[in-house]
Amino acid sequence: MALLKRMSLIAHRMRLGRLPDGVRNVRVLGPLALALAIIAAAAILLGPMAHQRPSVSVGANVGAANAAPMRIARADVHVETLYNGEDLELNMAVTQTQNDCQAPLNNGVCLRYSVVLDEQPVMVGYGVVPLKNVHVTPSGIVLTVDTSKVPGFVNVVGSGGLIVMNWKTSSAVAKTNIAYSATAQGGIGRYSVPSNGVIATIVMR
Amino acid sequence: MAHHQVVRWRALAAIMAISVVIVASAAVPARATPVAKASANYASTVLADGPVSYWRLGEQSGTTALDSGTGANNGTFTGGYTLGAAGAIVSDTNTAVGFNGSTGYVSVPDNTNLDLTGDMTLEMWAKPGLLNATTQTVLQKGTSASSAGTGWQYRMSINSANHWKGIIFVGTTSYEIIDNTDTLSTSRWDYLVLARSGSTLTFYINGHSVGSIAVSGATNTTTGMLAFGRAGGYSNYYLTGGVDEVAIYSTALTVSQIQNHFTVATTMDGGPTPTPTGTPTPTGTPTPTGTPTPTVSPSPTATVNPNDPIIMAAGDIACDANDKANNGGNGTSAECQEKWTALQLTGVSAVLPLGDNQYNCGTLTQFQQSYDPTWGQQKAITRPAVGNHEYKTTCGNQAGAGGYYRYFGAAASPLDTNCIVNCKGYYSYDIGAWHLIVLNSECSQVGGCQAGSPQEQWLQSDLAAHPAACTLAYWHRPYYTSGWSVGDAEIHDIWADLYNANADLVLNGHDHDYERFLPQGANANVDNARGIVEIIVGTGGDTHGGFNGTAANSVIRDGTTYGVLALTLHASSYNWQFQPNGHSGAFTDSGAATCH
Repeated sequence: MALLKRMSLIAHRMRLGRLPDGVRNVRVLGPLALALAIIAAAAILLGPMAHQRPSVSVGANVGAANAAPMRIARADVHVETLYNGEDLELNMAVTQTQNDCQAPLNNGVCLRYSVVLDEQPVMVGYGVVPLKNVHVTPSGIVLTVDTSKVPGFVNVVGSGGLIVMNWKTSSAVAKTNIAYSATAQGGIGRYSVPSNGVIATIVMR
Repeated sequence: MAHHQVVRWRALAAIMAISVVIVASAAVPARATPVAKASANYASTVLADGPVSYWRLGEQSGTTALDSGTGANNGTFTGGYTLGAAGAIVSDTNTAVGFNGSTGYVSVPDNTNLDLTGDMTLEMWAKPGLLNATTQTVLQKGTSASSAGTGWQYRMSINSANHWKGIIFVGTTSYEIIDNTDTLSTSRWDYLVLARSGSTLTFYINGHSVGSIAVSGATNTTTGMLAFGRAGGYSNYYLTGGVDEVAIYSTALTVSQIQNHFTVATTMDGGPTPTPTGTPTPTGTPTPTGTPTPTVSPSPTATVNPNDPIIMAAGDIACDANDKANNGGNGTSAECQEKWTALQLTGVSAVLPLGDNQYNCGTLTQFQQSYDPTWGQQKAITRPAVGNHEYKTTCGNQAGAGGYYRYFGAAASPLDTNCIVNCKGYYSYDIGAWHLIVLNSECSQVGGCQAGSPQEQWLQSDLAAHPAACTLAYWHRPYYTSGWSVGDAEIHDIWADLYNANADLVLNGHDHDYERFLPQGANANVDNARGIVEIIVGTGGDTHGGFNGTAANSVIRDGTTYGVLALTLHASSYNWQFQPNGHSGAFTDSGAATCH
């Protein structure tokens, strides 16, 4: 509840034009910010279930034409774990301010990912994902996308599939050009992110 | 330290370094046994074999292409050409000429000593700048096509299928050899030799014969010009690309002479290099790149000392000795090639393992069984970085990379005293005029990599305390990559620190491939003035990985060739060359850049 109060306070300050230092450059319309705060709090409260509610989206905030919000410089996840006794590596990165996808971003984000099992790739792909699949909150990012259904998505290895990733930082991502450590929950296809041994980072611009 | 102060210190350091070199050159007698360098060796090696004419094409101005041979065949740079392009020879500041594909070429007037009717050798380095399925001539002597063939004498070119081709003309008959198996690259210099010995014509590419045919009769003679970059006197078939080190002999060079030239050219210290004894068989498909050679380029004024130190680096090195592909230490054509990359580590001041130096978990036993008999033979000059596999515990390793720190001892973490587990793993040292920084990208093991973390704070202090003219940093996980790892944002703040301190070069491993990027800031922004060049060299021997598209600002990539990156550290510049180990693909990448 304390977090919800903090979100509401930030939204209130946004309406009054008194933004916290790190949020001053996030010129989001007041009502929209309030919605963002509520949804962010809901996402946090719901935890890993949040990604199952794609209709709840604040993705428009990421690149709305009438605003100058922070954008995702980079959010990535790296996992090394065991899967059925074999070494499993999961890697995933989302970028909005650099284009590693060899295709126009069209106001979307570039997603790249890989799943490597015992040094053999089982799922590798990259492509531009529509903004509606990305939910940005003050303290995290939620990505929900089925890459097998994204037009133009390049499945280098495998045929793609559902990717859900929920980055959460312990404090609001208030500054740009600084790396924030995060936790991550979700998975790539059948391969889930474990509860430990996860490297997750967010950098905004 | 404020940025302008850093710049001032760097400028002062650069001036002092240059002064030291000049003073040292004047005051110190020549060393009795100087380390031979390719810069001196290649030209002298060519000249020792007695070419009629030899054009180094390293002019920085003017229109004359000097003939360094005995033939007195100076040429003229004509049309659209660029002088001072990065040359083909490793550790050689002599530059090359580039042509624009429509008007640029070098013309050499006809001379009877260029009419080679019998034994002869044409030798040159060429790098296409465009592969557009049209004929491009790199060298030809003759008049024009209107003479029904008799107007032409000899030619080397790229054919319409983008393959190298060598031809001599006898009457109206053309004897031609095409290497239909080659894969030309716009980012690689190829060494071309067309030699006629009696009735045998042989075409060599990169030191290997790609075909021989029988010829009959004297090669044509004409009054037409010799040209580099177009079809002799025929105003057609222009080359888009570079040409370097052209030599013409009235004798047939032997195979050993040709291979010696190639070895000298591609070896940093001029010494022997593991030259493939057969045609290399790539184990995968090289990733093509349409990106031109980087904008970093040697400065004509850069100070280069022939005794400048050379270092070699690669990561992702030694297989577990119990790995089936280890094959008794010899590896296979696809994996476990640490033995062959280790043989490349000669004549260097330092060896830089870039992490994941021992698979699968970097236990002390694994290090002793596999790394030690190969790369470990250079342990005394090794400055290692730690990787994720050194921290793995799934195969019995001690937590905290105990195997790694025990094996390398104080060299792995000199900031700790007698540390054998959970050590910092980050440190710095100097080689020549360069400051080298080793970082631990297993961030969670050392309290993070973000701004304010112990490692990041140490880095800032170290950079402030060492305002060297040239700075190289290396660690395991790349920040920018096209490989499967997709890059690691944990490194962002460290990259920003290095960029703010005007660091020059970053080396990484982790992705099992080779990749080089344009100079960049911390947000994938190309910055040719202050950006950092990143080179991934995850090619030490273990396995090859693949690519996941092409990351922004990636210049060149390869996932077929094991080898090491050789760096020559000059006072204010550096040369790089990726050297294949001779037991996998034949990919190479080389160039030079100035420090900032």
